[in-house]
Amino acid sequence: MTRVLVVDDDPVIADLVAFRLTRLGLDVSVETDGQAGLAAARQLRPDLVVLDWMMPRMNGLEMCAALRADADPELARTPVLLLTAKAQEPDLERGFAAGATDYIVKPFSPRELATRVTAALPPGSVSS
Amino acid sequence: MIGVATSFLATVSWTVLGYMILLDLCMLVLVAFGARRVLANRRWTGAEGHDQIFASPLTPGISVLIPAHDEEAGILDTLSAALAQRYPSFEIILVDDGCTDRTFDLVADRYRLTPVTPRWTADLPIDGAVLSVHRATTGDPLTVIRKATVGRRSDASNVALNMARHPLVCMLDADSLLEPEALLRVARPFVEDPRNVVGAGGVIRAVNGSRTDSGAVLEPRLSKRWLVRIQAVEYLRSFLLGRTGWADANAMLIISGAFGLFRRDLLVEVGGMDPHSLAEDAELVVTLQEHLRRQGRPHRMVFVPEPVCWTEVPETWSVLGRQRRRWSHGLGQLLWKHKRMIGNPRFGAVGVLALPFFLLFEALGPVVEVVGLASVVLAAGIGALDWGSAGVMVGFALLVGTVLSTVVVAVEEFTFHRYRSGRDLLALLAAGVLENVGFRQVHAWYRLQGLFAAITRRTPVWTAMPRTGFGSAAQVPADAGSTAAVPASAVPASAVPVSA
Amino acid sequence: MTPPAQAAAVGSLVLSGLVVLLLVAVALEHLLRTRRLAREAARRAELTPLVHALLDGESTAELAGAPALLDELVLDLLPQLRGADRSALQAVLLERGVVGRAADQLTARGAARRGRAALLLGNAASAEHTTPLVHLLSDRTAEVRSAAARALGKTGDPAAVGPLLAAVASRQGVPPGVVGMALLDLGTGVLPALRTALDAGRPVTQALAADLIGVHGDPAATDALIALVGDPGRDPDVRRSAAQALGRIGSPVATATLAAALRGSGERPLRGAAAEALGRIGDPAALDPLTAGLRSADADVRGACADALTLFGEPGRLRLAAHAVLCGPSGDAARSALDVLEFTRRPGRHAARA
Repeated sequence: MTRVLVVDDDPVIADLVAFRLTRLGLDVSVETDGQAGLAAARQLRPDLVVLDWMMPRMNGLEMCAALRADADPELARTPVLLLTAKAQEPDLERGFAAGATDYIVKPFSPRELATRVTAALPPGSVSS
Repeated sequence: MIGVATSFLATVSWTVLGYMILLDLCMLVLVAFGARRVLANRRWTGAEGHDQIFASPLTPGISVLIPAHDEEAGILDTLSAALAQRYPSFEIILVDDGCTDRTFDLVADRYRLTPVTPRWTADLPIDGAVLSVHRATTGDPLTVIRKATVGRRSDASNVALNMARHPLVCMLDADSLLEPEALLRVARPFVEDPRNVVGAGGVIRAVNGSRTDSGAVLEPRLSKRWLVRIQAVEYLRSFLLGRTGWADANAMLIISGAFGLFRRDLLVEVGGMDPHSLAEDAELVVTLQEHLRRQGRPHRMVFVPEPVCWTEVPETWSVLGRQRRRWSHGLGQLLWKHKRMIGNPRFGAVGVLALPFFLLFEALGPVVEVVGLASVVLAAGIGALDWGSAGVMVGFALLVGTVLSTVVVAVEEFTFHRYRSGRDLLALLAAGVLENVGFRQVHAWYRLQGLFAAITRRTPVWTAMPRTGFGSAAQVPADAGSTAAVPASAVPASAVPVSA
Repeated sequence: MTPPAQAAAVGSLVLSGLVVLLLVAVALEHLLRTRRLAREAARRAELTPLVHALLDGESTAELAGAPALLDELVLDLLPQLRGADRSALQAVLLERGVVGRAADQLTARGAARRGRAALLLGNAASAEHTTPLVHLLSDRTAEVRSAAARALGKTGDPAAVGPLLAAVASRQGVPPGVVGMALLDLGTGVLPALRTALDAGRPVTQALAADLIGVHGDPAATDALIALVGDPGRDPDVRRSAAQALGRIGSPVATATLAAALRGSGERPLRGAAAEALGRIGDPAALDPLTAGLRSADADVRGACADALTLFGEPGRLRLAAHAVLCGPSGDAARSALDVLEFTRRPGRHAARA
């Protein structure tokens, strides 16, 4: 089963995203801060990560950079979707510079998110 | 002869007691007004429009200035919290004011600093030489200025001001943790009313004892030390005073010892921070008011009644004493420097309400209290004291103080309820009572000393407050700070909270 | 006991009673709140799956019987969403009568209620309630007026422009920042009204209109903006906003006027904004005035000119390099701008070095 990790400190959003992605037939885990997220990523080895930026303790950028710098090459290649309210141009530049694969701005459309997740995963991972 | 002395002492005692009770009652009335307003506004969440302010391209940028001297204990946490701000556009300018410890190394390491050519935006006079300027290469908007220290924090603030590039600036202590939405809250008055608002302030809380992690306050908790608990009550009270919403909110900014955000162009216009003042933010506010009102320009200052900043408060009497003496010294300087404004209706609520309030409560208060105490002791000594009456009066004074503190804690519980634990609440209430027996008297003595220093124009003595850093899970050992090496020059706190 | 002492004794009794009362109130509030929060959390957890199901337009049967907390949940979620899911939730609110009830509350006695009602109507993006919301723009409570302005922005009805702009200038009005954000929410449909506002009304309205036109980057307003910048008799804030707007629009037609403003004796913010705008426009004719601006007496203006030159590519870099060899403030400005160029071009190299 294709595994997806969702990391967002707002449980309402995290649940909503988890719901939408579970509908796609994905196995979704949720974490609420960057440090826990990083630990979960190392343990679960997800096929995709949906990441919030502004979180306490370790923000999304730091977690993304840590993933990309990880010793395990497979983990370092995991697609990361940044889902954040930070919408200015410098923010996008920073997000992609940290290694994000895609960048979605809040307020967001959960359906659009689902589409992008499907696109970022290898074909056949998603059962609609 | 004895009779004259006795009746004199008696008169003094009664007068002083009467003064103290009057003071407390006034304070109680003010606090009650503040409480009423705060409770009435409970239904407004206070976060209206925050999302829009965050997303709006018209929201002005903020430069956060952090002067630091030997702050290795908490600097990384402070920077983490500042950089994690939920605000569209901001920069942090840290000034390494002749640090002799690892402050710079820690920051350079974490943020991978690289030297750059400074881009000055103003030419305020600086006494200490600028050694080098660095920028973070991690993508964080952090600039670090290294300069030689002259023992004055205002110098460091001014050099940071010279480099600030956004329209709004705020001064942050190197041991203060900003809440994630702090800048958003305090910037809101500027966003909504850009023409008239020149300054805004938010509420400061004591962080000692709280659970923090990398700059985020995970759970506000009350310290186990009674001294800190009493200070926590003090901060709560000054917050309520700030909310009385007198006709002109301008006045309240000074009184509540708020965390301040100002317009950069105006700060540069008045010449930045006063190099000789110990009162920092309060001095800035009064100077701005004087300057702008004289020219008939907009001068609106807004108090944002929400916690924005968590700061370390002194944990031992000696450190507390230094801090309070310094604040009183600064207050004395401020009142003297702006004596023309006191009681002067031309300066609106600042002149008519705030400064006289300060004079009466903060300057005269300690004198009266100490004299009163001395006279009571003397009277008891020569056997001229009517123990019964005195006991009742003192009891009454104590009660008024207790009511005051209880109201303050009650309002806190009904509105922000930051302290989740029931025990913390009880401790807070107890601290409110304890404050009146012992703390208040000692505090008055410290303030008197500070006032005396101001009157005799003594050169300000700048001493560091030993930093204990931010506790993560367990309580930080209380004595760790006081035995740490304390260098001679340093960083005084900027807030000037009021105490009854 | 002397009379004052007797009075004090009585007073002490009263105060003691007061203290006890307060303590009891606090204790009760604390206990009740803890329980209330726990209950609410449990109920929210129960209702969340229902909310998710509603996103796909399902389970309308349970909808009718669901408690009011469902409306709260939906309202919390609404501002964070866009697209089809958002519309689905808005339809839910409509069906549950929430919008209707809020509309009634617009004329409630309590200011907090009116404010909340406005907030709700805004979140529900109901375009049918523009008129009562416009009416609230002159409410007697300031926060309600602001809430109404925000709500009007979110409803997306372009007819609200007129009243919103008028509210900026009126005595018991709405702060210009709030109106500005509301107008931004309304989108490009308000541009014609903004163009008209450039020349009419008070300076604060004109400046606001210029700022918004700049954010939208509307080329049709270029001539009007140029006229504003070039008119020394205008309010300096208006001229500055107009200069910034011209920079964002990016039309080279404005170069001459902006260069004149940079050279002129206007206030520092205007000259700084003019320099920044010239940089954004990128017209090579601006290279000379910007280079001259490096020698300005104001640190802000020097810095702005240096930053602007970095946006011109190689010709700009050459000019900066020529100044960088000089000592003195203009040299400093040039050097720091070159530093920034180096820095942003190859951050990786710097990171490796540091």
